[in-house]
Amino acid sequence: MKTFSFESYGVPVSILASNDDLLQMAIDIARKSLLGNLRMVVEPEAAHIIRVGREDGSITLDFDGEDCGKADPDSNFPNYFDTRIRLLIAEFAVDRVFIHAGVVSWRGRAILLPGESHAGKSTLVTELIKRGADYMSDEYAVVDAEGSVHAYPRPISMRSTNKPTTTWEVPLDELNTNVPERAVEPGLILFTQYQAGGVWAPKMLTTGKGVLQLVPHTVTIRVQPDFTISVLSKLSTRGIVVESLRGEAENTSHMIIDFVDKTIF
Amino acid sequence: MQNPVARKNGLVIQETPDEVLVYDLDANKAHCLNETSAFVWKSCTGGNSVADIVREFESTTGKSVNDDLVWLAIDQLGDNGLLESGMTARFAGQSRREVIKKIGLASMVALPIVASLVAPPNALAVASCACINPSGCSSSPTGVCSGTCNNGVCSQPAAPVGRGTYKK
Repeated sequence: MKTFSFESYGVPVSILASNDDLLQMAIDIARKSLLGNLRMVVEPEAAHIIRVGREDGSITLDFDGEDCGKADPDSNFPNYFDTRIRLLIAEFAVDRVFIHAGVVSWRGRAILLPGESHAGKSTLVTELIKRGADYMSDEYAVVDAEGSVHAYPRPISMRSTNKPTTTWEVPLDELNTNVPERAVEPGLILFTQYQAGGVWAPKMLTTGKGVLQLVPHTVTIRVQPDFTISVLSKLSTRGIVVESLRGEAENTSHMIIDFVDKTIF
Repeated sequence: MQNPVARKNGLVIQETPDEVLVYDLDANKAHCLNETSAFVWKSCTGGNSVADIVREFESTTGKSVNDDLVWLAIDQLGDNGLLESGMTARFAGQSRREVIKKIGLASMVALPIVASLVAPPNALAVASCACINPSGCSSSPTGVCSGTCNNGVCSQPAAPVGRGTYKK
């Protein structure tokens, strides 16, 4: 069995593969998935174990004893493994809380757009970048113990409106944007949902309601509830929390920027 | 009659200036108590009767309240598993609208509210409809992904997670 062990965001992981090719494929996906935030370690303690094998032309995968099943090596496996490795790190990250959200920075303050997949986060993030915002993530807001927000700048993943399973990545260098290198002060946490003809009508939420609304989007909540609640509380206290319906992303991005300029600066 | 007792075990508690956040480790549920419900909850020491809590509330806020307001808070706290068992709901069988109508007209303070949301079952449920093979869409962790598995993603997206339980 071939082994590669690493640590990412404080999470120790060992990948065990049945041959060198499989191991290299898994390492390559992990590196890309974790944006290079991966430090090789020797014999890590209490590591999460990922087993990758081959059976009848398919790839078998096991995460911490969970038999994930068999996959076609060319199509389903890379994306599935990519998703699982990111989630593993996000769920168990040390000193960080991962919130499923699109994030940009506007005039040094983070704008968070929490939402599930298919909620239109990437589209809205892209529109905000067109208006001059700096890109931080279209997937995770990574929040530290003080409630400051760190970038997780994966290439933006766009999805076809007609065929949701058709996705493509927009490389960062095509976005004409900067990525903040340091933690950013929270500005706006916006819960927004697209509705045809939806009217932008921002309504402020209290800190407590803000935390409550963040809970379903927070990856770490069940693993580290104490730390997570404390961090969400700081994030909601330092930023302002708002909810509103929205129409098309292009118009909404203009209203978001206008709202932030008027209420925060 | 038994006095109400706030549950202490299995909870993560975070206070903010006007609210109290409570995460129930057993139910994996987050609760937000507004100022009124938080006051009542903290007063549920086991040594205080409802009448004692009313007096304590009035002396602290300087505003008059009645038993029903405190009972409304107790009922909500009990419904959400934030009291030790043993309390009988005062307004069982009555609609919340009826109760609020009865109390709200006479009340000078904010009505007690306990808002709650369930945490997603696991990290995979938060994120996506990731799938490894066709059967992965019908047996997804959330149970809400469907369709075909194409490039590691189910063709039918997951329904929003943790919604539908938001009460206030």
